Amino acid sequence: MTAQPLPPLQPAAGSAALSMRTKTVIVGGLIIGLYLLPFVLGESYLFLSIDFLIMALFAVSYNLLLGQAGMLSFGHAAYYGLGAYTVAILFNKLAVPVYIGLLASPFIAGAIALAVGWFAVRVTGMYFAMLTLAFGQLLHTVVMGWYGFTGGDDGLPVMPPDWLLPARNYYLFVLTVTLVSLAALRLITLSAFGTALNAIRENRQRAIFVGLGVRNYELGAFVIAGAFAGIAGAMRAPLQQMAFPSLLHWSQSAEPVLMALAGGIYTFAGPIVGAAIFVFTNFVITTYSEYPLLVFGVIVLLVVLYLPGGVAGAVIAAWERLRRRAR
Amino acid sequence: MMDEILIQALSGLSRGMVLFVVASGLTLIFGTMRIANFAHGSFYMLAAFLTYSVATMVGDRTWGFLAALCLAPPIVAGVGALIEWGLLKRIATRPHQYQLILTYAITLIVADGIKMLWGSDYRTVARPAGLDGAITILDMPFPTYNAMLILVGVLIAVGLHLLLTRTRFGKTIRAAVADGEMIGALGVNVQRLFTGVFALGAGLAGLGGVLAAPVGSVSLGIDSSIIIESFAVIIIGGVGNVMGALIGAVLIGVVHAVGILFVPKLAIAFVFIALCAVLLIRPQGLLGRNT
Repeated sequence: MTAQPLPPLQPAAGSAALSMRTKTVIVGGLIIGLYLLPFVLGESYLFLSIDFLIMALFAVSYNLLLGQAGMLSFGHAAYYGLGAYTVAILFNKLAVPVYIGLLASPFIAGAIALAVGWFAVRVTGMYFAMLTLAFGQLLHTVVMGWYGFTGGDDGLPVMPPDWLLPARNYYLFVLTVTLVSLAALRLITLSAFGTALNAIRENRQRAIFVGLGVRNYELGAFVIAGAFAGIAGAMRAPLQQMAFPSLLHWSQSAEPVLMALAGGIYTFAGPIVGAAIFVFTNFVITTYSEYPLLVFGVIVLLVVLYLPGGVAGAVIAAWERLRRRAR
Repeated sequence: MMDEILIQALSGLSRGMVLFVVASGLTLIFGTMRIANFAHGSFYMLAAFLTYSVATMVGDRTWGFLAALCLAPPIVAGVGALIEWGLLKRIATRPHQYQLILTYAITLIVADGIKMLWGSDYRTVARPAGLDGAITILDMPFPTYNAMLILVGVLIAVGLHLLLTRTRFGKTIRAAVADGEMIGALGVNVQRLFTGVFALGAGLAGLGGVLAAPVGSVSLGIDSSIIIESFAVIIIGGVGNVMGALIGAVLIGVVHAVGILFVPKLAIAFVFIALCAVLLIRPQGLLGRNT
């Protein structure tokens, strides 16, 4: 049995029913709600919300590869971690404040993604997955081993300036950066470039035949996804006040894949929903279980086996069934 | 200095042989079923822990190791067959990412399962009597066990070659690597073949785990280091090609070991330079077929 191509593009059931205006109202309402959140939530939940925002950006940046271009990368954490280290190294070596370091992070992460992608887009499918994984682990090893520059496995401390220290302020900062980044990613997915990526996912062979420079498009997607993952990572380091090599580890790379699949990869909002599910589940499991990996693994196993459309897909399908019955 | 490099290269060769045994299983699974099996490292780790337990239970280090050698690989092969039959089969027609995530979930479950059963301490397994000394090569001591590993690696390579070229099962595997759809059309029971290949591959990972137990540490985390190196091996060697895996594993083992002499912390970087070089010149791998 050979590898199956990705199924054709299916807009999530129900989304077609929403008019442009309803969508604008929903998104606008959500954004206002998110800005009001820190005035309602306690501090510990606020940290959880910051975690969610960062993971949402991480997952959406990843989905530019998996959902839009059909590229199964398994080394996305490398660029996420590099973003964190960009902030940390600039802070420690040159005393650059974290919010300036954040501006540099997409360029550093994107540049390394360009170097890796230049090799990686030579292959496709599972080969691409293994190669991105291998390169991701290489970057992890370099960060682990280069004590003088990265602090090795001790990590590098990061201290946000005083005005970013309170959870509420940092939340609002992360929310703003995430929303601007998501808006930029949304424009990219809707652009001619994004449409070309869709064409490559649907039928790579045909995309080549109609004259698309497929490899260049894939490389472009890889660099953009890496750059935005870098921004997500850059927001992670000040949150933990530390950059750790484990941010680049391959188990971290599995997270955006899980989030995208849990939420559904064929919509822009899917991975955001997936991030919410992931962060919440992770929080509950690590709080209550002595063996979080085991519980988490079993949940993932069950979702893969029984909920092919992801958790969000199952909810939408159930909603559709209910609505049909109501009519 | 030259002698030092040579001894280090030999020790890299013995490490490469363990890597070959593990990666040959991975390359057969990947070549036949087109699944990048993350759980392969878990099979390796499981076998290493089983070796520790069997050796402890038997008591005698020679008989203990031999008992582990006979028991652990079949047990792990059985676990592999169960996973293929019970889980992977059910999502065989779904896109790649589901299979990848499924095997990834298995690595999580196995890692925590081992932690639950064995705890998170480091374990050591004694080398069998007669293999715990050193032989002299170029006036330098070289561990007998590592010399034995090189020999065993060669034997397994020959055995696998015979299996793949002389038996019906082996020939079917090679046919499946070349054209998976065709063999189904020709009436081969693809489902049974997949279960068989997955069990064989898992068994090889288990064998690698047993062989490595007396030289490496038996600890949590050995699963992820071996899986990354195995992926590098099969990309270098070419998917589905056991002899390619042998060349790739030896290359990686030796390059890594010699690299340690010069840049101890970053020796793995040399492995990736080799990987990039192969990708630039032959993207399908050294012995891979252009498809």
